[in-house]
Amino acid sequence: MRYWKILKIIIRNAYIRDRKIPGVVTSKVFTSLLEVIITITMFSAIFSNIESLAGWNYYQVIFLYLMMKNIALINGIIARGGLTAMAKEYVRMGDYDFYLVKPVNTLALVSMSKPRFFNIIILFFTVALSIWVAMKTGIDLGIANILSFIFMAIFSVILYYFLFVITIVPVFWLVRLFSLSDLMNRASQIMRYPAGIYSMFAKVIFFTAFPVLAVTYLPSWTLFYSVKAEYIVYMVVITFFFGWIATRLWRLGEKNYGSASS
Amino acid sequence: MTKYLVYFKVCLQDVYAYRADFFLFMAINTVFFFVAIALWTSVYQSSGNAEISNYTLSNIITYYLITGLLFRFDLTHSMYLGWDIWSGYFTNDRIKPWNIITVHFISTLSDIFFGIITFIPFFAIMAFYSFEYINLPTATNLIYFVIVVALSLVMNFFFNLILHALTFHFGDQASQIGLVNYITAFLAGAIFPISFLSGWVRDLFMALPFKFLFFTPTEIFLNKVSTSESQVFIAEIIVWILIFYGIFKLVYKTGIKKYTGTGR
Repeated sequence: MRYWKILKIIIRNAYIRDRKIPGVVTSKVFTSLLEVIITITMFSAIFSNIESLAGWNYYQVIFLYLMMKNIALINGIIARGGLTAMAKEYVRMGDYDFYLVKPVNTLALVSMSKPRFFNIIILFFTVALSIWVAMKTGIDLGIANILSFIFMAIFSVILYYFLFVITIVPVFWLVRLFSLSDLMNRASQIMRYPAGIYSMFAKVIFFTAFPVLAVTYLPSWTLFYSVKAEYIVYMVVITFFFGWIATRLWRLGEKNYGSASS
Repeated sequence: MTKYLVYFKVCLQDVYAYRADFFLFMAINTVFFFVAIALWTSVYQSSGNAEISNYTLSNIITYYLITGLLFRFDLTHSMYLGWDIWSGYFTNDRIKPWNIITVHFISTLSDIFFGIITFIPFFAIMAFYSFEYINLPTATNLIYFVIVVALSLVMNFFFNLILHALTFHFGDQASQIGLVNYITAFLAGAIFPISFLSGWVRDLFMALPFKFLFFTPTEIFLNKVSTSESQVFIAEIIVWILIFYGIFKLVYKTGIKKYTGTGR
């Protein structure tokens, strides 16, 4: 409840701030929408030469890409700005003091510190497009598939967040790494294609050690094909496991933090 | 000349201070190349064709390798004129006995130079990993490739200077500059070769000067462009440099009259 109140205040502030810079917001929204159009153009060019990619048809591949986009956008609304600021400013400038002295979980507070509320505009568009694309795949989607997909998608959003945290944590030791904030962006490129295009070695890595492929592929597979209990259990287990790793690493990093003198 | 050389060294020292960040950034940037190999290998296997839009699998992998290198010449995060104007720091540049455009070009060059130096080990890894697919250019085409890349850098510099100089007239342009550079990268063939497009879309892309940033140099590297065509491209780039320079001077001259030096 306390965190919900904090989030509400921070989002209201972000909304007021964003209203004052409509040019910046419009540019960012336009860039994000443009990225969707460019990627779909690329898929159209590819699929003018092939029927399917690793067994997935044109609409399924676009759905997979949109799944990645939606998860990144949801994280962008709440956590991305704060975690990016952590990589770029908070430790280097000593601003992390401000978060440490508050009687709340520092990871949660940092994550909520810079919401990008305007991402919700793009999210409406991409979610609507995802639903339309899913219907165009030509696959009959059963109720069990849809419900399992929604359940797994929730865990996907959480898992993506924990993976983002893990990529940011080294900043406690390295003080300033702008590039860390870009790491999940690059990892997102892996998430947008069917797992079948990757080598066995890459699949093992990206389903277990750094499970970015699991984030999009397992829920999407569940939606279009059969519901497998082991996939659902795996999704839940790795989310909790990486959640545990992320929070442990964060606490470990905190011990290394020495204010602006870090 | 000496003062500009000293300034170049100072700029290099400045970026060197964040070498770990640069190094990690370059490492992270290789991800796209390995994903591209996986994607296009799968595409060619699925199609059953040896060539798609006049590109073999070797051509397309070489294309992404060279594109990876050309991304190091991207100016989105290497130019600061807009920020200087917006923050009022531009006053410091204005009162010093030097040419403002030259110092900004030197500062940009130092950023790019350091980026290329740190990218070399990763480029070597990428080339080694995909060695069996890499197409090498002829000596003549390699020379034309270097010339076109150098000239297109100058062309892109003046194009970006126009965007930065708009700060005099319309205030902060940072996000608009990011947006425009994102669009130009797409129009330049940075995401995939322009050859893969068809009809009027392809004609439009080919009519714009941005193809010189990624598509044309890579086609030259792949020996898909003859010597005479390369020479025509060089002449075209020079014309575009003059056009962008002219527009920049106009925007700059009218803009400087509005500059107050108060910052934001």
